[in-house]
Amino acid sequence: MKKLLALVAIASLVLPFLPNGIYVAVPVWIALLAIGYKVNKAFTLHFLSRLLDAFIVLFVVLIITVAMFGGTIAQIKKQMIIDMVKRQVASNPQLAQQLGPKIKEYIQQTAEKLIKAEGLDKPWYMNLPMYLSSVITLDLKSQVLTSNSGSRLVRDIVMERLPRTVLLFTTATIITIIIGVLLGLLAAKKRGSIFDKIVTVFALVTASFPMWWVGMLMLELFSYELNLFPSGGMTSVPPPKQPLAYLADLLWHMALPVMTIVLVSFGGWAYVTRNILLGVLKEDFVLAARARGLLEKTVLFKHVLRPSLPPIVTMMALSIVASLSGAIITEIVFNWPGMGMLFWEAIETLDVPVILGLTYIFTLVFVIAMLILDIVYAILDPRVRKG
Amino acid sequence: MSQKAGALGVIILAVLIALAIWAPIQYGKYYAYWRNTSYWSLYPKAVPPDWVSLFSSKKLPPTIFLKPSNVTQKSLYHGLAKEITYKFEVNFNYDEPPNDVIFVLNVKYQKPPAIMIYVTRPDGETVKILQGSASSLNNVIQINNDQSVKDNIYSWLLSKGLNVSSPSAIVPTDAIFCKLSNGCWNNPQVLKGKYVFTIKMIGLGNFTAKPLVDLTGKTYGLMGTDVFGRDIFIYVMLGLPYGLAVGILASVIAAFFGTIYGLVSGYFGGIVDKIMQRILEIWYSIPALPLLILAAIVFRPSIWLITVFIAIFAWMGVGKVVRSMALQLRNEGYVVAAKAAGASDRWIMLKHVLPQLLPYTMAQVALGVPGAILTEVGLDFLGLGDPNVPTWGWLLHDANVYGATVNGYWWWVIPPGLMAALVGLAFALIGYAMDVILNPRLRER
Repeated sequence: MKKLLALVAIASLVLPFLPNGIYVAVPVWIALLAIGYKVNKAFTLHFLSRLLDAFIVLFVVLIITVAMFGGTIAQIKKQMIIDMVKRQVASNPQLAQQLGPKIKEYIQQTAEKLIKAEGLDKPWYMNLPMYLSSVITLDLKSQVLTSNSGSRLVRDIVMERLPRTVLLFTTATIITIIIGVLLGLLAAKKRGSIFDKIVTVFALVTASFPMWWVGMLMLELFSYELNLFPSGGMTSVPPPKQPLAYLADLLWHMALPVMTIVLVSFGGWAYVTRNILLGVLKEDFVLAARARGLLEKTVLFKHVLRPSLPPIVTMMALSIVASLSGAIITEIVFNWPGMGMLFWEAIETLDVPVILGLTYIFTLVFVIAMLILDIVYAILDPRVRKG
Repeated sequence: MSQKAGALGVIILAVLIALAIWAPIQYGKYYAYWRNTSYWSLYPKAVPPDWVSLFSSKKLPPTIFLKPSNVTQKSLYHGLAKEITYKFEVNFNYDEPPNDVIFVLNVKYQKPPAIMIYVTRPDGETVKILQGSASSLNNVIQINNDQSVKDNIYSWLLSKGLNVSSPSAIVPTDAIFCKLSNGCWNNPQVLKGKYVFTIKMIGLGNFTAKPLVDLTGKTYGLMGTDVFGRDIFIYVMLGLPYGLAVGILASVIAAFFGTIYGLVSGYFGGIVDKIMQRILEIWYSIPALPLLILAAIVFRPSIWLITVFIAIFAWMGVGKVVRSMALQLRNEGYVVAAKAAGASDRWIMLKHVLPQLLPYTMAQVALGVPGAILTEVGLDFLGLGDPNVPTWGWLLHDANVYGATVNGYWWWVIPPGLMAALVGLAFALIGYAMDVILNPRLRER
């Protein structure tokens, strides 16, 4: 029953992406929550409270953003209206002929009327709902940047970049977690050994390195000196046509940035995992398990690693915060055409709508990642799962 | 192990602080030249440090600033005119010619004197480099970019019977410093020995001059130069006080706020604690860098404001640690006793709970410094920091913008990042040592 429910819940996440799917999705979700409440009250409540948190975070970030950029958004919206009126006039030669020399006056007057009608002449806090909605739906025109297809809608520009960042960052994070947790396990098992000390020192040293700086050095060494990896970008130009060749090309371009992120992050992971495991190792039940004569391997995996997983997941959430900011800048160094690179381009050209959209999407991705980790935590922690 | 680590951290930090005090005293005047590229025009552009010669089979010429070794003054036409001759001697024993030779004339006059510049080579050849009136010559002459220098050297090479096609094929420094042969003007075998540059000025009436000759080298200083000619060592050192100050200040502000927050939250417990922890967790889930970027774009802040911004997104860790400690301490006997004696909450928090927490706060301050420095360096790298302050992040920003990685200017990339890492490491070591001492669970058995 529980597993079925979970499967249905995951499957329902596809719904909003279907045409008009949101109207199906909302009732389905409410129904799921209701059933979930019946089946497992504690878990559902935990989930709901985290969902609320996520919304609060998004809302706070949006308010801060809009408060800082309210004036600029108003400017952009006004410009959009003026452009629209101009286009209307241009597409209507009869009207243009009729107006003759008064055409500028007409455009200005019409635009002013529309601006007044939309309330754009009022201060930003009066227009908060409108600004919020235009950031949430990413319904702003960029000032300079365009998407690959030539669209100037922020939604198109950002959505084109989002999968690339997710691809790079997720790959690197998964590799980091695997290496980090395994090394942490080994270090905890052999605590006080040379290996343990090396892990600790490595963690301390790499934690102080700016990730993107390491990226610059990696580029210089592996790309320009040794010519082993490409110097940036996501694919060769032009990209290979065959799917397999394309994949290989992509992986080849991903190798250096992924190596950079992993190299800088896994030490910290190993160290934190080691500390959490050391705490558990001192518990009485571990002593008891050993006293019963269980194999060291069984003790480590069944009695030590299992109760350590929830705090490790918590650490995951925190370290992802740290490495995500590093990853933004790392993309710039490697010319990886993701959201971080877009941030750089938008800053260089001071393209405010794109910056707003990026901040919003970053927060959204971030909040969703945290939410997923929270759910994983709840599943791993029997106190939350069983209620 | 933790004690050794802590001691190492303290030693590194002490050295860094000493350097941070020494650098502004020694190089303080260079703060003004940070964005002044014309000041650095006398320096070679993007050359590696001097010590690369040690690892090279060739002995590369460093940058040499020459002062006149000999000044002679003659009066001509019964004192109506005078002639001043400045001689600049240099023993040039390197395997490559200099990058460029720069003459700075610094002439002050009523009537412009005539100026002649020539060089006497170790083989006795005297080559005219430039001739002209002080009013027609630039004050700073870079011979490799000067057409009339090329013309002069062209005619000299022709007079030696060499087969040179046109003046534009000549690299003047290569021609001046080469063993004469066909093709030596752009692919030279260096003629080693004593070179004497002579600047002769003849003029009516009174004039004064303070000429300089500068052989810009293939290497420079301890850490080389960037594409503007700026001395990277100087600016890495001048960035140190700012790096330390930003890291420590941001961390201290964050720890101060976090301690108060955690103290109140943990001490009162109950509903207050619940609400405050919820706020803290929400704050945790706000991605700091995008918001810092926004703030930097809107406010164009000074470096100190940036420090405060960084602290705003860094206090939560301290808050959490302090709160969990305060939760335990509030049930201790002496706290209960103080309460029974009628002490106010504020008194108990400040006098009984806070002192117990301070060591943990200190550890958190140390552990927070690396993160604060990384954030600041990152913001500068994005070009959003305070442009008037020479920081490591700005050095790396410029390195990235001017393609230091593409061109292999490693001396421009490594030192700033390494310094940031070193400061971070010192505090990480200290924080780690304190953490292990304070946190018995981490102690090795």
